[in-house]
Amino acid sequence: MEKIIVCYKWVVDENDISVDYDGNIKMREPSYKVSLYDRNAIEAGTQLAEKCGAQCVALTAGDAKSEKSRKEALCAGPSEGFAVIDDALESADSLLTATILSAAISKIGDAQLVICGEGSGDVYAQQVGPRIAAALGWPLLTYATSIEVDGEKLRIKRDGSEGTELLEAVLPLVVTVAGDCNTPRMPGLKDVMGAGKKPFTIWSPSELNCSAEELVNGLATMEIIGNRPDRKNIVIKGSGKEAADEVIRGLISEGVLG
Amino acid sequence: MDFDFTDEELLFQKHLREGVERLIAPGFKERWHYDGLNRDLLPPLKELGLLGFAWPEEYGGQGVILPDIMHGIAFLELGRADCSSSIIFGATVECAEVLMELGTKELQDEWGPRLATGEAYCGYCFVEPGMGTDLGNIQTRGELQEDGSWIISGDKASVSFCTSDAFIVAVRTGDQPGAYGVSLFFVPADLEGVSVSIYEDFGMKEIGRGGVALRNDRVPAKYLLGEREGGFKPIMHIFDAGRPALALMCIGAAETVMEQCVEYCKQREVFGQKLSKYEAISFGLIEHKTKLDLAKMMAFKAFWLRSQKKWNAKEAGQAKFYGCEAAFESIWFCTRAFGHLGYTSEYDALYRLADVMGFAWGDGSWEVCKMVAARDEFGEEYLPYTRRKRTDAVSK
Ligand SMILES: Cc1cc2nc3c(=O)[nH]c(=O)nc-3n(C[C@H](O)[C@H](O)[C@H](O)COP(=O)(O)OP(=O)(O)OC[C@H]3O[C@@H](n4cnc5c(N)ncnc54)[C@H](O)[C@@H]3O)c2cc1C
Repeated sequence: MEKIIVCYKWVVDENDISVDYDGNIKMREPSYKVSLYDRNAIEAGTQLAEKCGAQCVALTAGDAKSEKSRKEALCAGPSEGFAVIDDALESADSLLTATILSAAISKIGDAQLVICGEGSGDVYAQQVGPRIAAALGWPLLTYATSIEVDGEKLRIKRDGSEGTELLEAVLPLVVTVAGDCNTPRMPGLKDVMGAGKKPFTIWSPSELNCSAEELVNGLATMEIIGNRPDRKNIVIKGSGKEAADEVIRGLISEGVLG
Repeated sequence: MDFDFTDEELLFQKHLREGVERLIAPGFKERWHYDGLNRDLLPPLKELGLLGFAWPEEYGGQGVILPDIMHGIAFLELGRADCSSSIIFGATVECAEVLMELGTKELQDEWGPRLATGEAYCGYCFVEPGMGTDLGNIQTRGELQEDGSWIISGDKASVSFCTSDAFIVAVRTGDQPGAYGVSLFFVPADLEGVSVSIYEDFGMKEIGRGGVALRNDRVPAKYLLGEREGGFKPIMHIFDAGRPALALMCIGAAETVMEQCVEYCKQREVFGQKLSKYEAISFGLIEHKTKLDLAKMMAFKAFWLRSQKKWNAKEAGQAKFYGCEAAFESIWFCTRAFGHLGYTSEYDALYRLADVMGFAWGDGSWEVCKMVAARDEFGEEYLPYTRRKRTDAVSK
């Protein structure tokens, strides 16, 4: 394996989002970060690259804000970065994002493995990885909890409610990783200071030979409203069996049990 | 003027906050009761990438100097979780910088690999039972022997990390007055004449403060740090970084308590309203937050001046006395807002208050910080002592 491409999205840090009394989302000068599971993708790609002497390359697509992701993505391991930037990519739908990313993957060239997070930290549609696989015509494995290289093959684990699947896959391949796939490393001072020195290429969609028909965003965001659950604050007094029965009755009447 | 951190500083802070929450914050209250240098904090500090600064890579170090602003950020972030972790980290940086700048190659080769990786630890012995603020009054004596070694005798007090493997010790070797006759030595703790006694402290227990007695210890010439009788300048240089760092550590602790308190006051009802609705609470919280924010700016200014190789003793002193006091008052205010629960071990406010209190003295009392700042602001007439001239004569 020569080249691994890890895809990531630059999203609003959820710690900077709050919901007011009327359910409006409040984001005062939010900060941005590499989306949660994409950090697992970057870590998985970096570990594999270290193991088999391959190159790990980071790739993102988004509006101009995404350029800012450069140092954060590259201090986490990848040796080079690419970003497809266009204002039309702000809140792009999964199809548009996957179209752009797969065109960029082809342009970067020589990649045998593409790793994405299972879903993004903001929309969590879980579609970009599968759609990239479809666009490239490569096989796909989703929700991997571990990826290991075994010669020319990969061994991939997936944990589900029914048990654990151990799969063997051949390259080329698209994998999406789950949050428990690994613990992203703590970049050291040298990684942080060196990130800005790694090559980072910015393309516009027109440089990817995507046709105008392909660059259509099918998703329009009408409104984002917060969900502020009203607590019922039901207090059950008493103790022992009586109180426990009361709790169970309450849960049944709320539709939680039964 | 630019009040923002650089991209790199922001990244360093972001990762550190996350890592500290994962590796240092859990178990704070349980660890708090520890007595002695808690070496269990060294592996997480290593995982956070905070060990080995200033040591070369061949010793297992990082081969880079920690930039000043990041030094401050690290203290702030560690202080949010556990003040002891801040200074356990900070002393490794100071030790490395002192030994790499002033130590002989032999000493560096011998101790560097263990100190760089956290396998060994080094404390500082400046203060003595008979003096603290007037550091120039050091009584511990060093006598030069014919073979070039030194015999050192004296008592050191209030030594953080007194169960360390080695110490940097301030010793009077010359007859010049005050600060001018002082040299710095590296003294391994396993020398026969070294003995330690741990104090029963009311906070910062994971650093294990105590007394260190030196009884006729023979220290080889290779352990003299820098020039003979040139020991005071490096001590002051350590303080000029240590003071704003400790301020940021205390501010970090206060921020943690305030964040808990802000949440608590949104939930707790008295007289039919949430506590947050009462101005006694909201004005108090914002007043304390303002002081913490101001102190933070002053501390980072002190670090910034240092990074520009500019004189920063005034700002370092201002940050220390103002920042530590602001942190103390802020935590105390929040403790009261928690009601009786603030007085229980369920909340960590009083643990953090006790930790922060230590820095009414540690690394120079608030008073000496004011003294230094007043000297730089108003002139030498405002010092309680007269600075003496260095004489050229060096004693035997
Ligand atoms: C947690 C902690 C960690 C420490 N770690 C170390 C360490 O690692 N190594 C080390 O060498 N020391 C260490 N110290 C000691 C610290 O540096 C001293 O406590 C400090 O310098 C003050 O000295 P002192 O306690 O002897 O007080 P003193 O000098 O006796 O002063 C007593 C009081 O009088 C005030 N005062 C003194 N002179 C004046 C003046 N001219 N005008 C007005 N007020 C004055 C002081 O501020 C103080 O409040 C530590 C202390 C603490 C609490």
